Amino acid sequence: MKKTILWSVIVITSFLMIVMFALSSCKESEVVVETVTEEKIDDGKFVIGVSNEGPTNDWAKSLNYHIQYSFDIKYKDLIEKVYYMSCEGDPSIQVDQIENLLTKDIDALLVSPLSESALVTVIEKATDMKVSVIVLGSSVLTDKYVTYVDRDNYETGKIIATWICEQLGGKGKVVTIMGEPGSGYSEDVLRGVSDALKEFPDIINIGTDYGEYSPVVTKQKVEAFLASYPDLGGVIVDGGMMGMGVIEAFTDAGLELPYLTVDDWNGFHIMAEEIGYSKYVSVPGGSELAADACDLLIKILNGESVPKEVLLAPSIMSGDEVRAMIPEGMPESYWALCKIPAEHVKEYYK
Amino acid sequence: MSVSLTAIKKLKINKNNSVFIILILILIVSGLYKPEFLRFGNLFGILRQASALGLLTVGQLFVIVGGGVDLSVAATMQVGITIFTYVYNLYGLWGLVIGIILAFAFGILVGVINGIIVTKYNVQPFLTTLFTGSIITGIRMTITGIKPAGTIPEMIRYIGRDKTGMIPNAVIMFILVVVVCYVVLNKSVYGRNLIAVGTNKIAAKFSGINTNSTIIKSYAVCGFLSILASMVLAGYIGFADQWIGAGYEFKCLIAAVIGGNYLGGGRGSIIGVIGGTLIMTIVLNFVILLGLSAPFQHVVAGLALILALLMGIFTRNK
Repeated sequence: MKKTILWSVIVITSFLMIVMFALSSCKESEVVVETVTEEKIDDGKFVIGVSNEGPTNDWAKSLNYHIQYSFDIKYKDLIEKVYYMSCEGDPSIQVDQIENLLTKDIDALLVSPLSESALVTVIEKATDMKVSVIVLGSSVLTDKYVTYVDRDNYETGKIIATWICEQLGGKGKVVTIMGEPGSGYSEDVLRGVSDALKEFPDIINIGTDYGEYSPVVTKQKVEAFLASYPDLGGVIVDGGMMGMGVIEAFTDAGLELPYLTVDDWNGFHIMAEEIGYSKYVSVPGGSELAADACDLLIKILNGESVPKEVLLAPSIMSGDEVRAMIPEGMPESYWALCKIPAEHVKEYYK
Repeated sequence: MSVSLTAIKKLKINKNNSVFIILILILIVSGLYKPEFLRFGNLFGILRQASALGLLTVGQLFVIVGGGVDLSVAATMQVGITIFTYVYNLYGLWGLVIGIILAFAFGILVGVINGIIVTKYNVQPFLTTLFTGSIITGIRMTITGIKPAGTIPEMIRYIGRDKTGMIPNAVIMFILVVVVCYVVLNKSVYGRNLIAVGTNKIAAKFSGINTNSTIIKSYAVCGFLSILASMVLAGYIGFADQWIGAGYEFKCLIAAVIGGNYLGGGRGSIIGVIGGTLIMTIVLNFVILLGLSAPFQHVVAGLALILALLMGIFTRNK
């Protein structure tokens, strides 16, 4: 009996593995697991390592889509091999994966750091090994890279906080909800928010907390704030998914919806239109900058010089302006400032 | 009056109810600092926040009593809500019924598979459930591409967000589950068998208890309640987030232990689960109420939870 069950488990496991392999091949999965170390052929083509968060949320997925489009379609004639690694949101795994990538004779490393500090050593090691390092989407506490591409997160923080304060006429109570504590991305935004709030002495920031990009966590935290401060006039939020949590918390409490700042994630804008909410502005989340990072990476490998830092100045858009940029029928996971050409965009955002 | 005083005197503080002392202390401090914190609306709101975690912790308690642990609950929640929402969005009203059946069947199946691997092959529950969680997460990510599963039906919103009178429906659901599980665990043959298996598996076997079946059923209950928790949580936010419940596998373990439950099996207190779940949730609200910055929130929350644990230890033998 035991043997039968054992064999059943083995057969089912094998079957599952075959199905998963077939599915991942069909869907061009975002993670390529290399089993063979290949000799690099000097044919002028490049071997590239990509290390990022992985498809843990729509922002990270959009980032991946831009990278995949750039290397698989736009620059496919220049690329010999791309090793994609995703660490599922764990900085320690990301360090191990980059160490692994460095054994694969890569020419360039495109990395979206999950921690300002944890990746310093391995990024410096890559640079010492003459690998061109391009840092994307979040800062890191070293300058041993070739270029850093990002939204200007500090300015983003300033601009969103300033907008909220202005809407409240420079007087009232606000709450600040950032993404992940410790990530360079969130901390830079928060520094901008803090500096902007100093310009409005009559605005009281009741508290600063982290929604972890989760609507559940955000809703729970905003409910806690509302328990003591039902007169909140604005919520400074760095992300649409967290914005949904804010809207939910206010709606459940039966309170007037506050002024809010979000990003260009389609899911929020769909929801806002459905409920007729418009007291918010959107600042681009910056996932589209992955395409710019790939352009710079190719320039670097072609021997061209690039700036040490490319920071996108943030712009404020209304909900209507964002919706006008979104092609009809795009799913919630789409981001308005997409840089994937229209003829390819549906291959990614299905 | 004298009757109620006698009743109070009869109340014995033990490791399972000592957590309520910390809870009451937090409520008193919160009420003194911000009286509006003690409004019924706010307290029911906190209870609603606690409901999904509470359901999950009750499920986890069954596994713990049997001497195991289930770390696949969050993954089960995520796949369950994804299955349900996909089927609902494809087939409408019929999809609602089929989706619910499929989601709960999936939860039970994961539990049964966990139970079979743990009992038939004596694999450590910690590792078994960690890996099954990892496998089903991988399958979900591959099949769905981690796209948002779509809108959820009003019925789920009704469970997770709406109220009956003043009481949130999620809280009513939690109370119902608590009552049923209390009876099953403390008054039924199955409950006594589970406690016997968790206390001494070999002795239970020689007593004629089908130990494997008993343990497998405990994992199935946990899988079932994981799906229920995922629906309550999805109803709470109104959105089928594919990462719903992330981190809850450890939160529910912590809640169970804070409630005075012993990870070695053989003992289990539903009252303790209620206390553990409530304190986990109320501490989050408490530190925000105090206006602490995020780093200090961690310190104060950690201290409050350690205090609750210490209370349990000091009262263990009472």
